[in-house]
Amino acid sequence: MDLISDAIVRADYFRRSPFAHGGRGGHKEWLHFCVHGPQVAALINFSVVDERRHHGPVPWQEAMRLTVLTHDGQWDGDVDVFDAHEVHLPGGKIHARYGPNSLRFIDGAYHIHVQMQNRPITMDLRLRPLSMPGRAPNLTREDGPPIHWVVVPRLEAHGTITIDGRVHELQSAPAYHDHNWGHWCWGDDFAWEWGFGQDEDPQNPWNMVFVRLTNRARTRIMAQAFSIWKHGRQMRTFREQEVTIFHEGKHLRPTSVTKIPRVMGLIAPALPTDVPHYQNIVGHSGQDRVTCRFEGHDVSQVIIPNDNDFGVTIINEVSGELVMEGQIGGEPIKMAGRAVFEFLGA
Amino acid sequence: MNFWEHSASGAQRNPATGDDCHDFRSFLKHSLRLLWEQHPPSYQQMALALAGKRVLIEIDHEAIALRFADGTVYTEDPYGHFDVEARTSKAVILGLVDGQHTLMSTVLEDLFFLRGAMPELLAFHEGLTFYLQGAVRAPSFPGLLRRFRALEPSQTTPTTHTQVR
Repeated sequence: MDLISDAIVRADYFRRSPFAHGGRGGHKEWLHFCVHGPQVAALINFSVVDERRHHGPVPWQEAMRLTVLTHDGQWDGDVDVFDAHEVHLPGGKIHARYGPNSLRFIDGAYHIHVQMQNRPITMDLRLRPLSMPGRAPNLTREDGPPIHWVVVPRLEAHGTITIDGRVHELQSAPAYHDHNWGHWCWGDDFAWEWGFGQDEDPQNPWNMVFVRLTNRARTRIMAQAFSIWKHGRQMRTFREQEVTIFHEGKHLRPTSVTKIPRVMGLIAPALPTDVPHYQNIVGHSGQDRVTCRFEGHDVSQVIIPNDNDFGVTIINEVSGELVMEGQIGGEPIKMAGRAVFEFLGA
Repeated sequence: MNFWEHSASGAQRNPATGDDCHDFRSFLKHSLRLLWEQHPPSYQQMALALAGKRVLIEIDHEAIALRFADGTVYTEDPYGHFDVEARTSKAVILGLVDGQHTLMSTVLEDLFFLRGAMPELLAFHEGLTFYLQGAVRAPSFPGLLRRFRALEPSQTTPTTHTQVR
């Protein structure tokens, strides 16, 4: 097994909720993938989440969902829900089967098969990691335990994405993967901004990831980090006071937004008003300085019912373009390409 | 507390058999049971929003009445006085669930008929919102919805009488 595969197997396995073994309930976990083909972008998320139960003696129960969003000129996707008997999800492995959908890490690559229940979307993908995984084991929150994060920011995707009869063949398409887990409730006092970017040219060695965790009103920063990879190795991470993030210009004003699960459009029908058109990220420490500018184009929403109240948590998924430049250790950096940024809030 | 003891409908099906959804009336009754059982806060808020009111719901000419009293929803035959009347089709309901329509667009395009005084219509909207809030949180709702989708059009059984004021 090569070094990257070994590191992924050791870091990226499903943890599963400890509640069934006498541990704390409210565990949430997902493996998240983004793929950028020449004419298509896709988001695939396998999640397993403790949900509140108001009936019976057990207050929490795991719920398994597959979330898919695609864009090839128009948004499509949905959230499929699975009963326990339809799922095989062993803890300690990178292996999930949700009905006909599957995720496995074998022979040094993630193998993903998607076949949605109510949308005409199928995928057969092989994602080969090109970077070592990065770990952020303790993203601090104010009102609960930390959120954990493993990120594999650069992969190449091969395979097929079919959307309503439109077939997209992928060869060495840029891809991204991360894995989050921890204990929190949707509706807790936190929000996040997160994004990644890669150059269109696969020969360009640079890619970036950033994250910022704030309170829900976004008036207090709890954690922030801006990481740059080169040739698959994490070269520099700017943290906390070394990072400046600011919005520029007006906010996006979409006239319509695809919302998933689709039924949530009945509960949260409003259009977003707080997604920035431009997001700037500056990492600066000593002689090292890197700047990023993300321009958002299209927005879709993943809407999640809160665990303890009648509100919802809205995740704005924004596709766009990113330019990064600067220098680290005297070495110049320049990168431009497609990016996905995510803005979570109420 | 047994949900069926509070229902005046007389239907006593066991939801575990899968016979909980053979027409719209049975779907609605079972969905209310699920709400009461699996997300009581939504059920309570819905009953509170519509307290003292009687609502007619007619889907593809299959009608059922809901009476809200004492923090409970009673299902009844569709006769008598109604504070709110709501009429639409299974296709429109599924279109709303699938994000093809908004509630406003279905009303404005005459796909969803609503009748009542403004305070009653506002209460109906509030009650419907709490019903939906419970539906997206109750774990058995997706399965019930799948069974409703699978119903053949002829299985939304027309009633022999429709409500008239």
